[in-house]
Amino acid sequence: MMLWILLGLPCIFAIAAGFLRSPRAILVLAALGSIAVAAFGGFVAISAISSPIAAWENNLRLDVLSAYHLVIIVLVFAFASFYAWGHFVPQIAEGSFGKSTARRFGASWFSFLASMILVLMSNNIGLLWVAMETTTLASALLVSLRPDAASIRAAWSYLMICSVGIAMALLGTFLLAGEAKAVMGVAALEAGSSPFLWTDLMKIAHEMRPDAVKLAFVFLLVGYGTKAGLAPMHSWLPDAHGQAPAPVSAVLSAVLLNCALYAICRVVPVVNIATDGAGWGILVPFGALSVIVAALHVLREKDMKRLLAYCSVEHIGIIALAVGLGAPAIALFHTLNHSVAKMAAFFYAGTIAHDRGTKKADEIGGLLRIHPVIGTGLIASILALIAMPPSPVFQSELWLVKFGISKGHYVSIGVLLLGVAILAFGLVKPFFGMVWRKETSDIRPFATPWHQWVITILPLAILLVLGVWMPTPLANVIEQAAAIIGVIP
Amino acid sequence: MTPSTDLLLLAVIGLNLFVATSSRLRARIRACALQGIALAALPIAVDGANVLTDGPGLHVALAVIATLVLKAGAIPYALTRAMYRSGVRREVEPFVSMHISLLLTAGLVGLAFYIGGAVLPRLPGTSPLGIPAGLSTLLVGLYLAMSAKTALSQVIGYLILENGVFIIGQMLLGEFPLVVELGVLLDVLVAAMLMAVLVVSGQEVTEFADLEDSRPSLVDDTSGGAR
Repeated sequence: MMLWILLGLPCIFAIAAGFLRSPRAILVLAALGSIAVAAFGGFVAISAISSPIAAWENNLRLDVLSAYHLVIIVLVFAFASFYAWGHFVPQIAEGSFGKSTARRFGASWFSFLASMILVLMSNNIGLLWVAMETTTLASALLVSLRPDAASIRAAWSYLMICSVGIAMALLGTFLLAGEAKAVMGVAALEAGSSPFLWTDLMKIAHEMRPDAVKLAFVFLLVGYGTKAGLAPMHSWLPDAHGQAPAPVSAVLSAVLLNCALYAICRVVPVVNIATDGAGWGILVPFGALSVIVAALHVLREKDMKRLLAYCSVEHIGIIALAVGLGAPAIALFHTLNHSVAKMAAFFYAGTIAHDRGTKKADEIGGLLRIHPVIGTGLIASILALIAMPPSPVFQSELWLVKFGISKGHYVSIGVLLLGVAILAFGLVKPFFGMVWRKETSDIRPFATPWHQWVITILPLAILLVLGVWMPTPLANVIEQAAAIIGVIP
Repeated sequence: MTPSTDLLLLAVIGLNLFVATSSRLRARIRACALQGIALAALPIAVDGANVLTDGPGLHVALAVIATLVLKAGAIPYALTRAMYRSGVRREVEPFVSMHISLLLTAGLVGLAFYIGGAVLPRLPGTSPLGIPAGLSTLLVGLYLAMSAKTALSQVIGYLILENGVFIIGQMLLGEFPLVVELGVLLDVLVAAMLMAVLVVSGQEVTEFADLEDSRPSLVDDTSGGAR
């Protein structure tokens, strides 16, 4: 029942947004609605930690792993909706956020939230695919919220590449279920087992043929990997994340990528059991390639939001690498750190780009004088993203390096360190340039309204706390969730 | 396994070849719709004997009706409308000439038969044509989605690719849980509609039909990207 309510809430808000008349009311609904979903989602997630919650003949199921991701999603959505309210309200007066845009925003914003919650809740791998494709559809509408040529083009290539990519994941799903059905036999199927249910797959995984499961996993990895932005399937990502309005970019980068990786992590244990632990190694080359490719792209990029988008490719690569090397706990902790830091960075970059009228870092100067609060936030979040201590990103990367060296994965760790170093250089140059460069135009410093204080202080405070102190309950949850991914026969 | 299954699968393969070699968008959309009809008939044909004795079960009936309405009705209708509104009727100066396209597609079908026979498992009692037919549909769809120059042709390629995945699923699993089948169909419908809307609104904003810049390619191209 709780799962149905959690799924139903955003759906109701999505419909309600279609009926409201004023753009202002829709933005308030988005903010308050997302905070309500966050509160209820947090409650459901906490109750799911001790024992998994299931509904609808086990098609829906929330265990620790999905509850952990659920908390990240609702948290980021609550922040992003609050930021969206502060970001779009001035645009109502400017005339670029009218009634129809607002309705489209409200409806697709909540459908996007609902579909991501469904991704996490699906115990049925077919339903998981359906939910994942729905996230693409809802977010494509959000990317093309502003109907200019660049946005439509970005939405087009996002929709096309991800739909084609995800079709491969559907094939992988069918291959996995087909193998499971052949193993289960008629008796088990009539007794109510389904080849689509993850819990049933886990029970019979050791009987599946390794080759068949590996084949299915390759398709699943390519399919969901396209959605997660793993290189070499990442080409749509900088366009979509760069062109979307800032709150949408924040959500796309901070949680949608996690959702896609979560889908891969769901099938990893099935593959590992079926192949005696040989499954997750396939993730390593994808992760390493993402780290290097993203780092090289960052070097020649000037656009602030595209820089952050490539930085996401890099961090998703690090997470995939961590899972691939067999350290899912580090991967999960890194997921949380990256989500909070990336969300914050997109907020600040979006506000600055809107105020200055350009996204090009080399056209902006006097950052700290003109945007004292938001500018400081931007620099702090960039430092967090390039793993400056006391950032928690530093913690998780350090652990990964230690773990990799202790297990003898010298090449992967070398690639990781090289990528992280290039990324740090590539991000510091444009973003610190904005601080040091003199602003030539006579632009006056912007005032800081109260909501900008809130979105500057809160995410950075979360990062600081995570960087210096790991709460014991969080550590326990991460360990339990990692045990689900890292189950070894 | 019945002769009608094999006939349907052969029709699907024939339609693949036709789509890859016709340059008029209208013909492509119609072929896509015909393929939708063949796909809708497939569960009945596979299940032939049972349907004749017991009548189609609720599950099969729902799936067949939904496939017919969406793949042979709503989606082709939306694409045709988008075609007229965007004013692009044919594939202009394709990257690959039609003759080479025919050769390539035939090669893909051959490859599909080779791989499909050797690698993928199949349920006992299904047509030996099933997996190769699905695989060749998938490959041809992928080829179209990658190589087509007009946006609508790429959408058609995506739809054919999805048909191929569906045929393979049908052959591997027999029947899907209803929620998965309907969910996938609904997603494909919304995706096609959304793509059609983007084609039209893109056309209104720019010279979009000529998709040189935004042609989805799996090769990264930041210099030509949207700024």
